[in-house]
Amino acid sequence: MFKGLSLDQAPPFEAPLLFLLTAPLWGIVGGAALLFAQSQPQQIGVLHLFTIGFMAQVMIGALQQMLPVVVGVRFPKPTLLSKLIFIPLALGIALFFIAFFGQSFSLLFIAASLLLLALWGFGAVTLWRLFHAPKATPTVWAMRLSLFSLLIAAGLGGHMAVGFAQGSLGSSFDILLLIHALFAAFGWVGLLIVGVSYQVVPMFYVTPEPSEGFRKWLVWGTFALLLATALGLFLSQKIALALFVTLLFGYLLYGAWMLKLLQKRKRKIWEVSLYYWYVGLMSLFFLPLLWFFDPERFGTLFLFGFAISIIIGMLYKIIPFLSWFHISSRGFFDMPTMKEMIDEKMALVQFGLHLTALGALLLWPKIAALFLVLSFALLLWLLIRPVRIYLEYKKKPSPFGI
Amino acid sequence: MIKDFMTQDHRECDNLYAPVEEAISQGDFEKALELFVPFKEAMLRHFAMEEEVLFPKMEEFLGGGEGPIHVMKMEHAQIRSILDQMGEAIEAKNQQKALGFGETFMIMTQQHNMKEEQILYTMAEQLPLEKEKILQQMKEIQ
Repeated sequence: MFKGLSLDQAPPFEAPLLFLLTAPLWGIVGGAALLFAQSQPQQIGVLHLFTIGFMAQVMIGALQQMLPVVVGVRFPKPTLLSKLIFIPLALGIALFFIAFFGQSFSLLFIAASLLLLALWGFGAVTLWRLFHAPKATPTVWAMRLSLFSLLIAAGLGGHMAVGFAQGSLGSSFDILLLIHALFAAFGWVGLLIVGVSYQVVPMFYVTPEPSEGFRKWLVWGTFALLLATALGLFLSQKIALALFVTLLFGYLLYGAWMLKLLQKRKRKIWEVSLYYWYVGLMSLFFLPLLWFFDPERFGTLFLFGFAISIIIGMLYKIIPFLSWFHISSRGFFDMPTMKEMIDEKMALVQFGLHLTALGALLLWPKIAALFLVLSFALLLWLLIRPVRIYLEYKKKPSPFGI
Repeated sequence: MIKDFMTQDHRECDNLYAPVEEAISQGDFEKALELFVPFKEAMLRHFAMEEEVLFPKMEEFLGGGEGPIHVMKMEHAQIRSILDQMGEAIEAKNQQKALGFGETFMIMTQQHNMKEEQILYTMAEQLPLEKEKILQQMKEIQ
């Protein structure tokens, strides 16, 4: 009945770390490239350094770690699989960026193939594992629908990239672009954050338990609206718009509800990841209004205000915890605690830089590049320390002889 | 049944932990220690319920060895060790250390609890165990 079930803290640290630790590098490159991005294709290149480079890499790394915890199944050969996904993904991101930034669109044939190989490969393996969950909780469903959205978004993205490479975008390009963005942002990214937050927020901050009915309803409602909006685009712009705005209010409701839970949390301590949750959730409040007045800033707020904020906040927990855990599992007692691994004051400085970058992106994009580079560089520097501690302990013989 | 009871017990331990942390962050070590003692007792009692009653019953069906139950026990050992170190830090009135162990305890315990709640207790519910009897025996543990 439970064959193949493992509660081991799989995979080895190196497997998710490959994605988690290299992700901020794309943010640094993205920030720097923003300074020189003039044309629309160049902006597409820069945008994807943040979305696939930073965000998707962290999300893939985190999912590898979450899967054994939430579902009780681990990937087959986690380290090998991790490398098999990482190499085409990283190469794909680099080529995709070069193709758009240097206007050498023929490179997109290879870039799109590599990205599809990585994203579809990861999506399919993870979905297959997720359907082995002993119990389909709202979190499991959110993850499944999120990965399903990833398959759609990546497939459409690949199709459009090939269109660019061939120099013919086709008549339905505009609609496909909207559907691609819709599933990438509100399906893949949004639903994964929703699903993970269901688990992480009540448990890590000791908040009241949200009702299962509402959690489930929100996940399915979001996905249904996503599908309906995509179909609506083929029928009538007005219907699609009405459905999309309803979807935005769904996210607003989610944000308000999570903030209410956080307000009632029993752990009163303030720390940097909590600040990031607050900024991320509060960003959702302004999305419906911005959508009508300023669609470009709407996208910026979703990415840098909501998604990237929450992702950075989670990184501050994931990396020091895993470092501590893997050292502790070998029987050591004398390593620094999670809190000591991250310089808290500098993490607050990094948070300030991120907020400044967000403000600059919204108000004065020209100076945003500088703050983005600084923010991601400091993030990387802060995250390297727990990894160095882990590597130092890895060299020492275990007190248990493990 | 077992799942609900044990999940509820996890939450009660969390509720006991939160004020300990608050007292430490306010620098009130006497209060922190006063709150830490019943909190640690509740944690150890929860582990005892699992290790002395629930896990052996489950192992009759699942077998021992390197399986999920073995992993859960290893994590209990890790959590016990953090609790000991946290207690020492509170006694030594070392705020940074105590908060550091507190945070590490919290994340370690929550990811452990998630595995138990998502998977292990679900397994317990599906196995042909004498659930009433097990519940009763667990409640008797002091």
